[in-house]
Amino acid sequence: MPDAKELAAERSSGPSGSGEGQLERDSLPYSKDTEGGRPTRKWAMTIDLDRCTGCHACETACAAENNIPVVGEQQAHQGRLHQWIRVERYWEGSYPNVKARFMPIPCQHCDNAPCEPVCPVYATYHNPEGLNAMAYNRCVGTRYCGNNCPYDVRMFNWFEHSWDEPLNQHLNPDVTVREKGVMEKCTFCVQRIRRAEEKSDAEGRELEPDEFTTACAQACPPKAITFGNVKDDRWSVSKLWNDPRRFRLLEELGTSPAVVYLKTVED
Amino acid sequence: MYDELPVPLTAAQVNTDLTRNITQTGWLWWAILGLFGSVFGWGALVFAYQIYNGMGAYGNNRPIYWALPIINFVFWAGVALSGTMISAILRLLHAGWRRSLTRMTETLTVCALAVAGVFPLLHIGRNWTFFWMLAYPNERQLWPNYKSPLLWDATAISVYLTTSVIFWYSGLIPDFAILRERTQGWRRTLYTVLCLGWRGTDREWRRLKVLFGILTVMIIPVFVSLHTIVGWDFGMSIVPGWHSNIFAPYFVCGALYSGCGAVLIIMYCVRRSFHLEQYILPKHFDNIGKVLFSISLLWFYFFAGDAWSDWFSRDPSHINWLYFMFHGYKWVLALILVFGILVPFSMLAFGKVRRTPWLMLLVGISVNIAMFSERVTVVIPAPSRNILTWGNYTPNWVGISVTAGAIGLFGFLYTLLSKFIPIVSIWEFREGDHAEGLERVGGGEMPVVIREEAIG
Amino acid sequence: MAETTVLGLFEEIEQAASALNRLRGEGGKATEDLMVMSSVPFPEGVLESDKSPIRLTTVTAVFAFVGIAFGILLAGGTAQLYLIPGGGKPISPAPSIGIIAYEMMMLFALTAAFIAALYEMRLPSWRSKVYDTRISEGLIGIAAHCADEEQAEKAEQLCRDAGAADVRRDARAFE
Repeated sequence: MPDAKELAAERSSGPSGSGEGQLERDSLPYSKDTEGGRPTRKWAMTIDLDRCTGCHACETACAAENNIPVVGEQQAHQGRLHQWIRVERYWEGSYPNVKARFMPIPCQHCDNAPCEPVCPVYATYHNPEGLNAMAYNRCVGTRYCGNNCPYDVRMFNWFEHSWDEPLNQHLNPDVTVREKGVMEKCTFCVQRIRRAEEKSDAEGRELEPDEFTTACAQACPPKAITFGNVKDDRWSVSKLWNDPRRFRLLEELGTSPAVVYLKTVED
Repeated sequence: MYDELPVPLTAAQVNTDLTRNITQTGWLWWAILGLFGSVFGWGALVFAYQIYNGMGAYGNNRPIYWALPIINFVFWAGVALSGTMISAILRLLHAGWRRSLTRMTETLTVCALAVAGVFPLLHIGRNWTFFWMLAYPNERQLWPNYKSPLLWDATAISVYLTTSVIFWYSGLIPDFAILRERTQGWRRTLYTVLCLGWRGTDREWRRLKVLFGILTVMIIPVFVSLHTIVGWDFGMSIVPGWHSNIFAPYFVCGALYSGCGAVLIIMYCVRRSFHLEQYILPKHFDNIGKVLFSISLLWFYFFAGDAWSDWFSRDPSHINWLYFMFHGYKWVLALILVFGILVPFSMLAFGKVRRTPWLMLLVGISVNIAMFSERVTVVIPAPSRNILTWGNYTPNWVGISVTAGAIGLFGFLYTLLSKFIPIVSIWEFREGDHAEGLERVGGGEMPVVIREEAIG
Repeated sequence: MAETTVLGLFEEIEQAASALNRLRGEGGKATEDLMVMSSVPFPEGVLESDKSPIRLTTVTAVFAFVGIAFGILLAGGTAQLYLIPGGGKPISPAPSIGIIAYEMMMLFALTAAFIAALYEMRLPSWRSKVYDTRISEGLIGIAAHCADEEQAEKAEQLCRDAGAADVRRDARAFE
């Protein structure tokens, strides 16, 4: 295993890199001291690949939480599967010394998101909390954002979806059911963020560290996914954010993702 | 050369010949209009089916978000390019032989651009919200995002369409005045309105010449900008195989190529259907053929250069795309090589072929088959082998119907317009007529041409 | 006798030119009272009676700058009305403003040139005016605006002497 410090320095030498993995916490493009009286937040996620077992529980939880349509075998085969988080499986080596590696890929909520500037109608934009937001009602469906996402995490509603009885009763009332012709993707469970904020506001307090988490993180049995506010050092995600094992997917593209992966520890 | 000198025609004869397409309507015109109209009608029905069912009807998927509608858009924008270009560049160079071609090529541009303009609206997921991409003050207080290359594209295509229509209409005004005197009934009313009260006073002619000087010079950068921007729709993206600097000039060149091919097709069809053998001569086909020959070499150079730079980089994501194109799309590549290189090269090299109109029609068709295939290899293989996700796209009946519908719409528009405008510019032709003649020199006869003064 | 217009129709350019010269010289007609009409343009300097200045290039240049300003406001200005950050890019980045400004420059310049040309041509104007159908069919018309009967008769004579195919009076508006 390479020296931890070396690894961290190597991984953080992206375009906005300032060494030692301190990059985007200090150089957020939209940092304000407070936003509506709240401390500034930067929502981020770490995914520990050493912990991931490839069980796909995150995908299932995400589908239940976010009203993700089930398109069926034929549509999935034709490349129209809806998954806001997908677990990629890579085989390494050849038989009999073969090894499976898993990598859950949600929307990376890039600071320099390639999908955002190409939308002709501002249906996707960057919010002050670092979320790559998607306004379904504004989307006209040019699908340029989908083309321009190097992670291919944007799902297009190719057809109108329906939910059979009694699944239509199971839809999450906090999440919009998307019409045909609009783009959708992982929101970092923005409905959970807003609910937690409303709750803490009502109680007249600040958000507690790790007060809530996303559906995928909640469902992950080995706790590989950690979600939270990296601007607040008390959150677990802040402690993992600068882990020596950190790397970001396709970092060389300069997208500056808000999802940090932690490398598998080799024996 | 001598046998091809235009036989001197009287003004009245020219007027009669060149308005015949308007004054006489045979059953064949109705049949052709009906044929194109029904193909277009079918395409429109399929479009309605697509609106009802969703974009998935095209067989697109992730990561091939764009497919046949965008291929058609790029193709028709390319076809549109050369019409105004040929007219503008030849006017700029005072090439006398342009006179017979300007009107039909400008009409080609207007019709093809109208077809191209349909596709961005057709390809979006929620077609009924297309007006959200237009810039106008609205109650949502939101303007479109001019950072998006799609908006540059929409802007460029509207600018090119507007300026092409101005270019086309400016030339039509004096001809409408002639038609005003030669038609009766509702047509006379129509042309009286359309000619804006033109009488042909020298005050008017002087302005028209200066206007053409300005339009000619300034429309050339407009169509170059349109095609660089169409190239940037792809070039500005992050997709390996699309993210390329060469796309801007490559698209301009490809558009010239398919556009000149389309000009040949139009020249043949117009000449044949309206019996304009005295006006569109073999030398016109010869000249366009020479232009096409040189553009074909240039285009092949860009085509090879695009693949070459990706191959040279050895970037794995680029190699994946390239490998896929040369294997999965080898039949499409073969179409490009045969119809875009072999056929035009072997035919255009011979003067006899270039002067035989029906062979040049075949060249035009061949070039356009190749260019459509080339658009396919630009739009499909690159995203099919994206960095993380791979996919495959198979065209289905919806995409093919809409592609056919585009041809139908173009044919329908062109056939319809050819019934309302002189398809060869009457005043330009007659202007050339009194500038050319025969001079006896030392017992022989020489063609002489009065040189036009500099434009402006 | 009120104002009238004498319209001489000629088959040959030379005849028309001779009539034009005579009307100017012997007829004493001012430039604004003479008009050449034809269905084809002639090379510059041939059969010119119109001397009014043409300002189309100036108008085009001015509107090119107006277009640039409009393009900057459209691409850069509208984005400032409603700040929506995205892609780590500035709200109004120079390259996209440049492209839109370029397109708008072309649109404004060319549209202005067209409209200005129509304005200088005094078109559209659908009023009934001096004209003859035969001009469309290739004859060259020389129109002389005459204030009284005496002038009109003189103009008719001059046209006939120059070899006009036909000379007639036209009471419709001269311009």
